[in-house]
Amino acid sequence: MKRTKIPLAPYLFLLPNMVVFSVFIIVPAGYNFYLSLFDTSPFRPAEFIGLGNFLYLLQKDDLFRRALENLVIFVAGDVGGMLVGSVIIGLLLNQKVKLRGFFRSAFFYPVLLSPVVVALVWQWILNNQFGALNALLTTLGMKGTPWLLVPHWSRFWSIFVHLWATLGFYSLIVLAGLQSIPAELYEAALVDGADRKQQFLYITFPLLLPTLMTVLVLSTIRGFEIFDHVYILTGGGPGTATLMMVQYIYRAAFQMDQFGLAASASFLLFVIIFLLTVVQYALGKRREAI
Amino acid sequence: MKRTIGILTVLLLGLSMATVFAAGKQEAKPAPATAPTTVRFVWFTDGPDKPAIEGLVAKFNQGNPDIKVEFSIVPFAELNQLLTTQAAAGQAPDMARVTEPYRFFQYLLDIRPNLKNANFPKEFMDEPMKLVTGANGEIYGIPHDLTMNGPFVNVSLFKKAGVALPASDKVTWEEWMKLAKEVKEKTGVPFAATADRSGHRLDGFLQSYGGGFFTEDGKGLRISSPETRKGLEDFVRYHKEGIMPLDIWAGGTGYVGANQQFVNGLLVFYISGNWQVAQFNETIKDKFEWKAVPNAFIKQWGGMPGGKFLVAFKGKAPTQVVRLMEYLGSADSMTEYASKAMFLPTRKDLLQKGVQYPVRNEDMNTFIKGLANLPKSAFVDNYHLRFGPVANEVRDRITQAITGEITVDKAIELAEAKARELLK
Amino acid sequence: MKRSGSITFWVYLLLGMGATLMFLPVLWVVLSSFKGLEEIYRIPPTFFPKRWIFTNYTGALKQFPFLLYLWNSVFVTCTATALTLLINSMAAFALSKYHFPGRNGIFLVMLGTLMIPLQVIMLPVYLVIARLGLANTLWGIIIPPAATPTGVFILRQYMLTISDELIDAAKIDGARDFRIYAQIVLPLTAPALAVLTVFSIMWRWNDFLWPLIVINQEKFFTIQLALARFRGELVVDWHYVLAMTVMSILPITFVFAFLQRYLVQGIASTGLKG
Repeated sequence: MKRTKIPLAPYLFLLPNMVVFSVFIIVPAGYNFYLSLFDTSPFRPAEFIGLGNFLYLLQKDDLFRRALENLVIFVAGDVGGMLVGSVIIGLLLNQKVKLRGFFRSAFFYPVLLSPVVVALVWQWILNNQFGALNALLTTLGMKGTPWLLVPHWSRFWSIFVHLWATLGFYSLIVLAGLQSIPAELYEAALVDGADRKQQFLYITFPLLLPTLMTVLVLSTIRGFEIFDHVYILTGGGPGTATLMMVQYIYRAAFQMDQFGLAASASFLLFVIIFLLTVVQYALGKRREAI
Repeated sequence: MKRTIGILTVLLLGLSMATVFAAGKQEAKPAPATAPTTVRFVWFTDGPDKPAIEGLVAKFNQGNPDIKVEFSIVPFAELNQLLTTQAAAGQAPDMARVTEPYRFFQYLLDIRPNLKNANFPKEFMDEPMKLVTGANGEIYGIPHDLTMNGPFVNVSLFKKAGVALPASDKVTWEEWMKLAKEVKEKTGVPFAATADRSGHRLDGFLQSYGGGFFTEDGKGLRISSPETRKGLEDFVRYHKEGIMPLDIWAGGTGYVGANQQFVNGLLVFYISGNWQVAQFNETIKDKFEWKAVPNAFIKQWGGMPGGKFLVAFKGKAPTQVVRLMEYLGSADSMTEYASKAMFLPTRKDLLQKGVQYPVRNEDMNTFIKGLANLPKSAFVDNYHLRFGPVANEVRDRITQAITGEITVDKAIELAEAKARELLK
Repeated sequence: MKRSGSITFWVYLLLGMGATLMFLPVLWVVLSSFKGLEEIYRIPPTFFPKRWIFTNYTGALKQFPFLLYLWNSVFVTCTATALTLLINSMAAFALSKYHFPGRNGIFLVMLGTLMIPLQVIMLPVYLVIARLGLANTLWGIIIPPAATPTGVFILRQYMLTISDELIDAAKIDGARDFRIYAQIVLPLTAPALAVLTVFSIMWRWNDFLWPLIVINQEKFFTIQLALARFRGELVVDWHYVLAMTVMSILPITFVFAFLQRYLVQGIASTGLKG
């Protein structure tokens, strides 16, 4: 029986990308895992402790568990908001209205801003004394709130600010997906007497699913990696209400000098994200058209 | 088929590893005898020190045509990370201004062999000097400026409220808090009192109670001692009573300063340190009257020393970097630097004589006096090798107690447990 | 089809509210950049500056060689984007139009690298950079981020929708792999490439942490690095920060405004695809 020849071409096309990956991501990641097996200190050589760091994190470290909790809450709100928001905005932007170009720029604009800028702007708006939001509320006769000093508000605003800065990105992806749905399908449905709601449920939504899968996978991964926006906005506070995993790692490595522990935490984070992505990918594959 | 994949994967990984390790470190090229040797000098700035140090560097470059000092500034928040990653890759600068020299000991240069004046290291204050001294007596640099924690008072607000400032120098924190609260209520400003969100500031606060983090021999912990416990309980209580605002201490895990609040006349009593004097002088100007007051005295004087160090890294310019260090550490340079930047000097001769500051002379000398009154425990704490991470841990746990996530007792328990881990 | 008036009203209303929410905070920053420090700290805050001043800008420009930083940012952004488009599209092409052993595995690994944020592998990555002699060079911040998995992901998803019949037809005509890639698939992928271009420009322009680690000489600083210096001062000079922020947003706004029309065209043209 003749075997089909394995094509050489795809490997060559992949090569440049894979070389950069390997050298700048995979090799360092491997070193990171290696580091996680040691108990490190700036003053003595590292001691090999195998799974010691992992056991400590999972059993004894209250901050690690707190960070994980916070992260799950954040991702749930963030991804949920991203899916709903990007569909709504995508649908709105797909409408034939005047100034369509302007509106598209408007929603994408915050995406252009660096996380530092975004966080500073909103920190300023939410400031208890000088902030625009409380000023607005007091002129309307309501009381201002120390937004970033109340745990559940702090969590809310972390998600809100991140959505504000990122929805435009995913909305564009959804928009592209919406526009690739052939117009003839809608025309045919109209002929059959379908109303807008039916059009959405039976044409738009099913054909949009691959795009939504993209949004789901990407935003979940990015959600778990969140750091810049939240760290600059709330510092992880009040207390530890918005302490996220990457901040935990950063603190362990650079404020507590515990490199081995930090490496273990980052490895655990990687495992969580990896498992989630595999599950999502497997579910998505069943729905993929091609 | 599977074997082919396997082989390809191994080849790919092998290729990457080979690329990485075969490239190797860059060979150092010996500088030609005629061109000036470059000395890279990394600095971080608190503001007013920038023109002072730039002036000194320019003078040095002029007076030493065979050396070219390349001076650059990096943000403080990233300093340690930056230096660590660069040093680990053999790319460290030749000299750097740092706050925690111990982090870099393995990369630092012993300056003794290249010193023109062998007595140089002894000309500086003993306690801080210990922090740049290696286990076998190696000298890695010098303390370059000292800082001292201490409170500032918005005098105008006191006057406006018709509240008198304490007559005596020996005031407790409780008394200050009561006064600040009264002034706040009578003037309507948003903040009565606060300290920067820093374990360092907190320790200074605790010193007044006779509390602190480490035992005198540096080997044990005092976080759960009754004195420290009382101080921490009070600190949390002031927050719960609304005297100290949540805005500063309830934040997450970073440093938060309260400069903006004080500078804009919104804060009555601000526990910070002498490094603020120059900035306050420039930004507050005549907007309101303010002054530095001594730390509280409960069982003893409070406060914490601190300071920045100049350290020399192993590199391509060992003799040149030592020349720069001796220049910057000379009495003349240090007098110029301290008075221009409004810092406290580290040379024994200057601390005795005192320094005449061009502005705010009284405030600066309040701090110098405070330095002289500091209990030894303050020095032990600040210069302890693990002070940084332990202070961070205490700070973060107290924040949790302030927001009510945990009790003060639990905070002390957790902080001490972590500190014990870090001491191993 | 007659569009009901009330739906149009809601669409405009929602779009209007959304646009306002997107622009207002930035507008406030722009307006604040023209305020003096005292006015910035006023309670309650003012919206429009009571006194328009330009010294925030002149002061910031005087203190820092802004044009140099601008050039560095532009060079890095453009070169990195070109590199990204090239190697990502090649990889996406392989992963979408070929069946070969290891295809799924490699794609999963690539997705996996999405989950390793830089903050976590900073130290080892810098060691690699230094060994390769790329430390303190602009190339050191151009090459590593170029193989972005997001880019490969986006391009691959899009390439999957390109009909295989076109490719099979080309093969029958005797076209070799590279020609198929360059002359058939790539042009058809234009809309996704445009999207990736915009994203890459944005990412590289806003990169902060990575350039900070790699670059340690002022002559190679990018704009974000320069902006970050203000965080180094103990007292954040808000008025300078605001001015520099506005200046750093201007170029990317301009570029986006220009590319956005192309984006729209690209997206629209796919709608007509049969």
